[in-house]
Amino acid sequence: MSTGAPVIRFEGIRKSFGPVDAVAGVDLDIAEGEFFSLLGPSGCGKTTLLRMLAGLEDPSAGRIRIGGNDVTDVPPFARPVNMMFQSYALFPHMSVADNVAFGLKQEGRPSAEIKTRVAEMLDLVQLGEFGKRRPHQLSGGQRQRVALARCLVKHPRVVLLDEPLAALDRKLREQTQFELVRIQKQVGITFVMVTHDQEEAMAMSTRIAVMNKGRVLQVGRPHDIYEYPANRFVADFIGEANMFEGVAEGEGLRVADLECPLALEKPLAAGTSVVVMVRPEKIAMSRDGDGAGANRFAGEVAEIGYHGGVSSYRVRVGAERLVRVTSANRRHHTEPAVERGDRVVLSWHPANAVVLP
Amino acid sequence: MTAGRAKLDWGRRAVLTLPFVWLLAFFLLPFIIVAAISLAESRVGIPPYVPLFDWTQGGVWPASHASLDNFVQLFQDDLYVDAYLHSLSVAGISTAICLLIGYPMALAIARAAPARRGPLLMLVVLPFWTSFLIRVYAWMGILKDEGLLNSLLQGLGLIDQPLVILNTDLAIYIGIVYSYLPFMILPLYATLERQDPALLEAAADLGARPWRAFLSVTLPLSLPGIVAGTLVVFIPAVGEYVIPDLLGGSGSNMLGKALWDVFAMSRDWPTAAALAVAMLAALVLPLGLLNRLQRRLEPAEEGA
Repeated sequence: MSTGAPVIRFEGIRKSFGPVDAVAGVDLDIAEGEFFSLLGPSGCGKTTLLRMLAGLEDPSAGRIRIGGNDVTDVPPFARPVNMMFQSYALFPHMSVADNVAFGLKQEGRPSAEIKTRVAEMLDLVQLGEFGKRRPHQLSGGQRQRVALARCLVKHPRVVLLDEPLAALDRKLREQTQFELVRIQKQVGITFVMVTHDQEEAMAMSTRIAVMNKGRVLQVGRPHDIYEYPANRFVADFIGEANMFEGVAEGEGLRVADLECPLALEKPLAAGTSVVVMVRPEKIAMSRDGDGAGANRFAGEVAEIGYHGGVSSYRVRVGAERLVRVTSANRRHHTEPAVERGDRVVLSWHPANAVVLP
Repeated sequence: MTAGRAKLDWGRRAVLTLPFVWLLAFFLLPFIIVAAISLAESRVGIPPYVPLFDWTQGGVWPASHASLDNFVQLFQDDLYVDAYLHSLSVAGISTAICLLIGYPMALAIARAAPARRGPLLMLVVLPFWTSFLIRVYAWMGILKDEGLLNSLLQGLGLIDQPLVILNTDLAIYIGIVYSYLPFMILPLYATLERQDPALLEAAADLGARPWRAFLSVTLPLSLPGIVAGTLVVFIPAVGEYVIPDLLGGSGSNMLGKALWDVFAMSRDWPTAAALAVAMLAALVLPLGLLNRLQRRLEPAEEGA
């Protein structure tokens, strides 16, 4: 990951569609060579932000800089970015090679140069043999790679990817994640990807901006965002989270429906109301021990989901609270296996919990 | 699996039979009768032609009176050749004008906000609420020497003498373009509306200015619509009778009018039939070519 000057800078970007603010004030820097993801639920403004970067939407306010130049008023055909559309938007009446050559032809490159660059690019995406085919003669994964080649061939400063993997089936999607990252490293171009799939964003990105309701809620490396979410929305949206809402009291946190207070890593001023978030895999579950003491809670296993490599449990603590716990199935036989209805004790180290405002 | 398939095929065949029988009874059969008459000899009487086969002579085979004389006569008579060429050129030019006016209109409707497309299309189709004949008569009122257009222009002081438009070829062009424009707009709209807007965005993103994007993406992808619209306008325009008769006056020499004159005025059914067959034959050829072009374009479109 490069730490040079930002290649992209959003300054106070807003976009209103009628009374609705799709993007409600975004300031964001993206560094050269990053694989940057805009992550959020549908309607959070991530695609609008990407389209403004491409010049396909005009911001209602704010400036956009690419490579230091203000491109806010530059039309899409003159911007040094290329976009891979969610539908791929391949030209159906052109061959694969003509699709890839399209951008170079607009630049008026000599035909010999176009030919070599198109061939190189098709080789890079492993479609060297497919130049003469029409898009409708290709599989979904092949079309996706043509779309990528069409973006990369112009050597843009930034490649924009709008849900690049959404149209692929699960197996191909995982394979393509690595492939995209490999190609990004190879060409060294900054990638900005929009996705609603947090696993995809985590697996591929150098940094992620989590968005909701037109705002950026947190920017950071996947690890930061998962382990140290800045607020409840991010904690809940990324991965699974157990939230304990309570008021600081003495050394710990008093939670309304729990008998014992939660232990905190650092004490808070008495009376502060906060949320403590614990990831399901940070919670240890055992059938031994009693349910007394700090951060130890007795409960009953209400649901079990077996996913192969891991199992997820919902444990009823108190009258209404269901605590999510996941644990890896390390051995062929977990002896003795936890069954539904079993009494268990949950515990976690306070350092593995995050205090959210 | 095979049984299910056979059943499906049977069902499909049943559904297809009705239109097939319809076409056979009301299209092919009448055409065969017309084609037969075109080979007969004209006479004064009822029917006004000599029957093709004469059974009165006796023997196993009837004596035949069929001949291609009528067709030979068509080609020898400059009047018909002229009418033919003139019809083709009027229809061709009118179709081109329809395309030039209709394409931007169709594009504008297809690019309008979805809520506006319905009303705009309605406006295109609105003239059909009035009878075609009445609308052509209305154009007579507009175009004649003391008509609406000339009164307006004279009232504005733009011209001293009325423009002579009615009973000229210009009036025919105006009439045909006006009448057939909706038939050009509708198929064009259908193909343009289906185009994925992301394609144009992709073109712009890859560096194409709007005009280049139009020429390299929108236009080629709308070719099926252009072909369909051209066919739907050109074919009836070649045989158009009412418009040249009412707006073109007696001087206009177009096929439809010639056909009517021969058929009704001269009561020469065989020559009229030959004219009709010749017109059809000459239309089928360019039609077949266009059709093949359209079929070649379609698979590309599915890939979108």
